Amino acid sequence: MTPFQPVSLAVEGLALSRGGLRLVGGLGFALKPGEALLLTGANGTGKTTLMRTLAGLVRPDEGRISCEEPVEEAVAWLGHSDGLKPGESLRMALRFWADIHGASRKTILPLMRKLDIEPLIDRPAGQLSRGQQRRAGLVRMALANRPVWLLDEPAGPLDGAGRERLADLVAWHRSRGGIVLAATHQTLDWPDAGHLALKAAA
Amino acid sequence: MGGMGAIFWREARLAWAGGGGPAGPAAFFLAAITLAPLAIGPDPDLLASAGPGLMAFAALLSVLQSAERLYGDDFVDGTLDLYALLPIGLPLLSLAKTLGQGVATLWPLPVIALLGGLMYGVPLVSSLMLAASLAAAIPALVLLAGFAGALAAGVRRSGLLIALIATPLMVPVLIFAAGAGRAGFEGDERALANLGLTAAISLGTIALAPFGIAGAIRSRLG
Amino acid sequence: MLSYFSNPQRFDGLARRVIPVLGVVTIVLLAIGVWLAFFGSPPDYQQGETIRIMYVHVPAAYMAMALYAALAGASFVYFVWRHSLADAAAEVIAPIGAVFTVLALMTGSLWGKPMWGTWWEWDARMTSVLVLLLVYLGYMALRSALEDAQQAARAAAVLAMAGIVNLVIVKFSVDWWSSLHQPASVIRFDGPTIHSSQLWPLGVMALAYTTLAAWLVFYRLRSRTLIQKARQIERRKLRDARQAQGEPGELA
Repeated sequence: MTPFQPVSLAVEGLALSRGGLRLVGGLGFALKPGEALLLTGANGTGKTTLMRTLAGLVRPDEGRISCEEPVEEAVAWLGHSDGLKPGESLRMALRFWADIHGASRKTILPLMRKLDIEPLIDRPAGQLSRGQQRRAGLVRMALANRPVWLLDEPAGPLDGAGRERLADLVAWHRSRGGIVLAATHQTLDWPDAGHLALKAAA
Repeated sequence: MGGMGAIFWREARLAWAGGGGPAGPAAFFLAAITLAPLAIGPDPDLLASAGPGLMAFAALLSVLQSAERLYGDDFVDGTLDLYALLPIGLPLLSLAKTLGQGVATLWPLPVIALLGGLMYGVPLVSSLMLAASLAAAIPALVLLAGFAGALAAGVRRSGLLIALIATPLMVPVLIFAAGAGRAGFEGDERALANLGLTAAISLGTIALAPFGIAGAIRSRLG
Repeated sequence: MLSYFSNPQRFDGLARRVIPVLGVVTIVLLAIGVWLAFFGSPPDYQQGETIRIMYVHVPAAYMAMALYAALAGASFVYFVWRHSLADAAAEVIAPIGAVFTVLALMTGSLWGKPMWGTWWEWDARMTSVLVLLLVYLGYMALRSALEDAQQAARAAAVLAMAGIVNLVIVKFSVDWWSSLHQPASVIRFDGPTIHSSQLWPLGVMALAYTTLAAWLVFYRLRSRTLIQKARQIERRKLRDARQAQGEPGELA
């Protein structure tokens, strides 16, 4: 893959709410190229809202998110759902996402191999298991070739082998100077990743 | 612009693969124009004069019938989040997406309208006029349906809500598109004017609706 | 000014003083207007006594449109500057506008019976107002269908702004549509055809309707903020009770 320009990400004094209810306030952290941060916290503490805010999908109530590049060009997103269409084969879907991000189609197969789903390439997404769909979602996200990865519950449906593959993928991305932020309930064993626990706002 | 082409073709492909392509709207349209004479009676004069309007109305309903799918699925399966993060920007994206789906699913409507015109005893010139004005109206109809669909995306049983939102928006297109067929029938010189106005509304919708759809998507994602 | 009053406390203070004033002004104006409409003006030389329907119909139609303009304006302000008061205004205006629209349609129909001989005529004006009613209904339906308050507010604002563009085009297209089959509308209100003896009651009634609408808007805005305050208190109590019971409200 062509290398991307590494960026750093800084968040200051962030305040978020959902449906008019304050979730978190005064949140701040900074990530340099190659760093990873794991977000933990009980249900309803605002993990997903924070991720969506970082992706620019939600406007924060207060605070600043600074990054060298505009969010639409820096962020690769993996949300709760994988963004796959049940009737579309992985080949067609991943080709589309490669094209739209200006990535070479030749990068699809190596990434699928990294996640061990290469033999599934001609299967429609609707026939895959949740874990396989998650892996395909990870490939799609990596194809964007963006420096900042935002992963919302990346390991949720993954089995043990899948989690190892995910850890390898994250390590590979960090070695290229990328940043990884993941909201998770599972304990993910990523070497020297930071931890941030969100608490319910008073 | 390359991105727009990729999105257009993907949406067209998905409409075929996942939703049966044009089968749904075409069947609905055919059923509607079959039932109408059974409801209003077989009087040839009545059918010929009401035909163009009935068919324009039935075409509008066919577009509404498939509107729920335009943005509802993408909202639920997370695709809209991904689309919102593309550098192409939501207005151009929604234009390419909506037209891609619209063209793939609605292209038979003018053809069926031509057939229906003959069945209703509408003179050929008027039937051609109606088919042409429906073809000109489809971009506007599908974009307006897309706007309503984006606003109501993910709402349970959104079909009814979409219809309620989209109906007033579709009033002008309906008037001009039906007017072209009807005026042609009455031998009025206004047929061409109506066709022109239909095309003008479509162009105006192409220029404005994408911003509305983008605003709708943003408001629903945030 | 809007941001000054977006503080609920300050708005409540203003509303508390404005509501009674508007109420009194509305009742006085309505009394004068009704007196003028029934006794203070002559019957029309063509339409006879039925002209008096005009004094309740035309202001209703004018309010139906003016309130939509206000709704779209408030939506625009909310969409651009995110003032929650503007959104609240849009939310409370919609049903009031819809009621005035229904009133305009009903009085129009009552007037239509002696004028045209039918309760409903597909005349350009009546049809446009009917479409306006659909626009109001769509707006309210969307608001009530979306559960997330902020999503509902923003989506509704987008719809309201699109609606104003649409209504202009609808007006034009419906005029065009009705002119295909019938000569220009029977009744015209513009300029010289209206006599000055009719202008007075019409003007007073229009003013009375305006203050009535403003009264209702302020009244509903105030009750809306009160309801929200009550909900907040309720939520706080619920949370305190939960914490007292030792439930993990604060645990991460």
